Amino acid sequence: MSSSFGEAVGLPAKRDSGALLAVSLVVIAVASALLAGWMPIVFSIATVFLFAGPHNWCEARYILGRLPARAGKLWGFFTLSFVGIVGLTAAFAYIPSYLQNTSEVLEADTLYGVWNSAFVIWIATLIWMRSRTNPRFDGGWVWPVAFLLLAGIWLHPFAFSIAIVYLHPLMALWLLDRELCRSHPDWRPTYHAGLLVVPLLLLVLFWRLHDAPSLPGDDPLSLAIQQHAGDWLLTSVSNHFLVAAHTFLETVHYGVWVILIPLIGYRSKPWELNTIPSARRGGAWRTGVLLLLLFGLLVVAVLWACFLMDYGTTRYIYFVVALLHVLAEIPFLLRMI
Amino acid sequence: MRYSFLAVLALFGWSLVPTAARADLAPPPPPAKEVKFVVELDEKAKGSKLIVPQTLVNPRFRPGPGAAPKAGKEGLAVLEYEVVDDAAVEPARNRNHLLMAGVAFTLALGLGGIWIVRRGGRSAARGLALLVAAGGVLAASTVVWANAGPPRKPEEKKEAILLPVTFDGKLTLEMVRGGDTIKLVLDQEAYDAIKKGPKKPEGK
Repeated sequence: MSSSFGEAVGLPAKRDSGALLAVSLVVIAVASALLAGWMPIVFSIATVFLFAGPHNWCEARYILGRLPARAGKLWGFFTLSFVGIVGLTAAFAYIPSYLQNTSEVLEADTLYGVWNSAFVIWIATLIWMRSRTNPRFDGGWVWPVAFLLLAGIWLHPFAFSIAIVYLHPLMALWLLDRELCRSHPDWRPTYHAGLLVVPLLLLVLFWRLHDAPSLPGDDPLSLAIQQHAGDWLLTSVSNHFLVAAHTFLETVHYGVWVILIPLIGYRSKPWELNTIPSARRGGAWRTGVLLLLLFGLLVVAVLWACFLMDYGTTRYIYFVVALLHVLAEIPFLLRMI
Repeated sequence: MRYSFLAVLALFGWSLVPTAARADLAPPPPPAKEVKFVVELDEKAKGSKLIVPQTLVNPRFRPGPGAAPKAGKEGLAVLEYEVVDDAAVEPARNRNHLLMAGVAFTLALGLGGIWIVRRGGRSAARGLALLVAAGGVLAASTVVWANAGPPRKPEEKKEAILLPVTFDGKLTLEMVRGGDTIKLVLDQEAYDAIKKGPKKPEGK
């Protein structure tokens, strides 16, 4: 009954659409790599301004469409997910203000080590809980791997933080794969072939830029973008490459959330609530979902206005608060496996 | 099988870029490049100084907490405000971190072993063999110097050219935000010394 948004906007629903999806991904990736390599700082500013808010809204809309209407036996899993998402985000936001306090007791690397450890233990617990619900799998490997990661974290706490910065954009590609697994399994081989363009473009960026001169900007915003890409940690490569690579990955993940997933994963038009399980409960639930989505649109508009007023401060605050959506993707992805 | 083949292929691909992947060897010094250079005289200066725009050398520091320099420090050179904020200064490494890493690593190996043994069957034996092999490699890695530098090219013998010395003394090295020109600001004493003309080089 419910046709996908892709069909609604005229995409063919046959196997050809798999090729169309892969071509779209390649076009997004190539365009992103070209722009990110050519003018990384400007492109980073533009892409965050344009897509930071909308991609969060698209993600929230997609997650709402996939969450069950009732938690049922998964109550424990969802509770731990919620506590982790909110608690870890709040703690992450508090660390900078703690460090600015002159009476601080713990140094920065200890604090980030503790945060990273809590993050890994949270994920490991969720995977372990997930392994004990259908479809079940052997989750015994979770704890050895988690402790191996913890060892790495305590050897170099900041390396793990930078790894999250670079790995987070790839989660969108993984989620898209899981969505295809559900709705269009015959598209996956073509999609997987299209995915090869991402490492290839990263290699091209590295080949062209790894020894490029340092980026010229030395204003606070340019420095913040360079530091976000981890140039203070990865000192053996040009920060031109680092900012370009990070911006490239960010833009690809924006493209996946804003273009590709809405086209294939919404199962209806974004404003139609009939494919959102909790909205189908009717009454207050339907109104609540509608208000949540409208509030999301308001936040997107406010974010754009704040970017126009003070881009630097808004970007800083956004990337702290945006951790919420990074964390939210993890339990969601686990339920998709 | 297909994935194993792809993984081996990818590893082989990575092995083709050894010039870029330097493991933990220190990066080579950047090549020489031309930059703008001016010499200025500051009669009131208490000492000479060399001012270098940050972008020409790009020192990289761990960002301090917060989005921007604290109020009143916006005009400071990046080195000044980072040091004043005590954010760029790498703290002494906390020894407890190594302890934590060791405990976590031990738990990882222990729990990994338990998991493999509990699985049973042929895969358990294979996994146990892998674990023992990994342990062996780790033990061996404590005695091999995997990060020894590559063999050095024999250096060409160059005859040392002794140039006349115009000025010999100390100056302050200062890095600042903005600009694309290296400035040498001379105090009166250095300026007078330079005016006297170069000294003949002393042979060694």
